[in-house]
Amino acid sequence: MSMISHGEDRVPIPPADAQHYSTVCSYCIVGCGYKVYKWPLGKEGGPKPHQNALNADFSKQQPQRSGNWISSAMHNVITERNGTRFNIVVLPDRNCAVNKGNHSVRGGTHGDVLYAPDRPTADRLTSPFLYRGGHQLPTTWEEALTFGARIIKACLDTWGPDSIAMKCFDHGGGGGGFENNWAVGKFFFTGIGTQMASIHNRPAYNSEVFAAGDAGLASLPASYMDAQLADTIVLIGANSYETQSIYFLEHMVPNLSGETLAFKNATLPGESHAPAKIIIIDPRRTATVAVAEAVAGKANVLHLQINNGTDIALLNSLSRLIHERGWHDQEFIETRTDNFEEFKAKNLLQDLDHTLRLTGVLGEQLLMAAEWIAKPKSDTHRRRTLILYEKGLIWGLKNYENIASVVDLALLTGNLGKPGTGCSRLGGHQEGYSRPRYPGTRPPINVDDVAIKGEGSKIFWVAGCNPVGGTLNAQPFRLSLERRTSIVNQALNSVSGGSEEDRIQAVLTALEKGVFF
Amino acid sequence: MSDLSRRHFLKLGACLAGGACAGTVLPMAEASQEAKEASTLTTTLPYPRLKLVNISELEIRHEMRLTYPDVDSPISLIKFGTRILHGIGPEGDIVAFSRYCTHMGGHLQFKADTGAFHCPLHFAMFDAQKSGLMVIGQATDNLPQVELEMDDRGDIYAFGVKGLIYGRQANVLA
Ligand code: SF4
Ligand code: FES
Repeated sequence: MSMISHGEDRVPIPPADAQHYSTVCSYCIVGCGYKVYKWPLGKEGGPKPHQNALNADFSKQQPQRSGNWISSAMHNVITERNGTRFNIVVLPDRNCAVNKGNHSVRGGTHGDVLYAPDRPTADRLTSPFLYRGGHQLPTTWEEALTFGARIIKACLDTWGPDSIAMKCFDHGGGGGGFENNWAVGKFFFTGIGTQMASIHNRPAYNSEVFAAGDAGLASLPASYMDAQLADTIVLIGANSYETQSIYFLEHMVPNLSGETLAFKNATLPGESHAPAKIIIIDPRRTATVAVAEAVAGKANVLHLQINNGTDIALLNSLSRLIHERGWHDQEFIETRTDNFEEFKAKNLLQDLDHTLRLTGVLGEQLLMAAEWIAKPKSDTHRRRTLILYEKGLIWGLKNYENIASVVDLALLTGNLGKPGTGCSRLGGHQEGYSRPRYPGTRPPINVDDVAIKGEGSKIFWVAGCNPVGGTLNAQPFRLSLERRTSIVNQALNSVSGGSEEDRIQAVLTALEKGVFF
Repeated sequence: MSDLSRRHFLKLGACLAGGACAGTVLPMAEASQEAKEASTLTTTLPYPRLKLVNISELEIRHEMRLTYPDVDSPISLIKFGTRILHGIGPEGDIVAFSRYCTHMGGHLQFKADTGAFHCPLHFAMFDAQKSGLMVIGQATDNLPQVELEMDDRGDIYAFGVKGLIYGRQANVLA
């Protein structure tokens, strides 16, 4: 891995007969395409087109966006189990409809991050650690597994399946995905049968946006093409230049710049089209705001720099304004939704002056946002608005209500299921999600809350995540974990010279009072 | 951890700080040690030694557009007026960089007010005062820096490029 400065002044190019594979980025859910080339170390392609697998003429300077330039970060040398060494190049795929040869700062480093014994990726944790005499010391897998398994079994026998809680990553993509997720589910759900499960960045075993699911929306109901077709794009709590970069750069930016106008006219004839406008709701002035302004011009970018935690008031006020002006989609409401009266009695009563005070947004900005989202383009054509949100909206103690109010806004304005519309997350990481069924109730148990209250589980299994970094009520959770694990550490210290049997007994005795990691 | 792998570990940490890969992550001592290591990099490429300009022709913070190591590789040479990382000359303030963006080859523009190169294609930004460090953007490498030296008469020569120039397999074309 680089410190983003490799210093090399040449890279080997794959020879014409290099093995090659197509794959997808292992980082985010945008799903950019990549080409992997693999060939024996010591061999190299030549600069002439017929001498290399890229069919490129490297005796000449390549033009910008050529899609065949291999940066130093895209190359690495790997050693297979039998000792054979290979060059690897992971190059963005210029024929992939998602990224068209483009890549983000993450995807561009697939080569760098491969394991290589002579590069920084060699710094890995290769043995398990156990507490001994107040320190975490390396031990064998055999000892760690036996130790862990015996304590889990003892808890299971004494206190039942829910005495074992877990918080595990569910990342797919590079190096695992389906296999990891399946094994985790098989162990905890089928094997142990615990309901005390949660996913790496949330306190329970649920979708991050289950209010959207409850409202009947599919998880990702819009395609990238919708971003090319929309009249207005709304980004809420999302900095998409830096995260989901290629979705933003290859599919939203061309619509903001007017590059997709011909495509809009051809795909959606009979209505007026213009370069898209964008509303960015974010307390911070992000790189996304700056880039959008540079591309679309300030007049087409509305940055609502709201105060933290005021999304619900803002979104419900937009709904109210839109409804009062008659810009809502009556037909859609009648044919596709229910409970409209309830919505009216609740969301549409949001006090507008109160909202202005709470959010710090100006009245004219609020009205402009309502217009950009829903003021019809003509008597016969509604605006097509694509609403996308991320962590800024998702993560907070009001997760459910936040998402519900943005979904309600989309339903009110009929921005679902039509070209150029949609309402969803931008999406997180690659998932490769496949697990046996969660054995618990719906809604699921808030595991972090259980831990804070000091109830329930004896064991808390954490894998591939920072439980305190991804919870809603971090400080009490951290303190609770600290207090309860230290009880076990003390117990282990008291028998640091003892046998395995002694240590297991010490832990089990401590578990009567605390939680074990 | 050995010394070497410890340094690597720090490097890794610095980069994993993600978008915040801006030079402030490493303490200064580490940074200069890294710098020394990188500049001893050996190359097998036959770089020409080319006279670019005489120091008397340079205006402060004014970009001079040239080419190196050949006419198809645009570079910019800048004298900053204050000592900067890897600057040469009596004041340690002269640097030169490739003008091709290390993301996808966008044609960079130097802005005197930011002291950085800006890319019009996808908006990457590289700090000329920090050895071409990417401040923000989607590139995976710093801007390639031209290795410079100055003789007694104030003539500034280029004799190499550190980092791979966009659109090339090797900095010196075959
Ligand atoms: S945007 Fe970046 S991280 Fe996401 S899939 Fe594309 S290259 Fe990978
Ligand atoms: S080419 Fe410069 S940012 Fe993409």
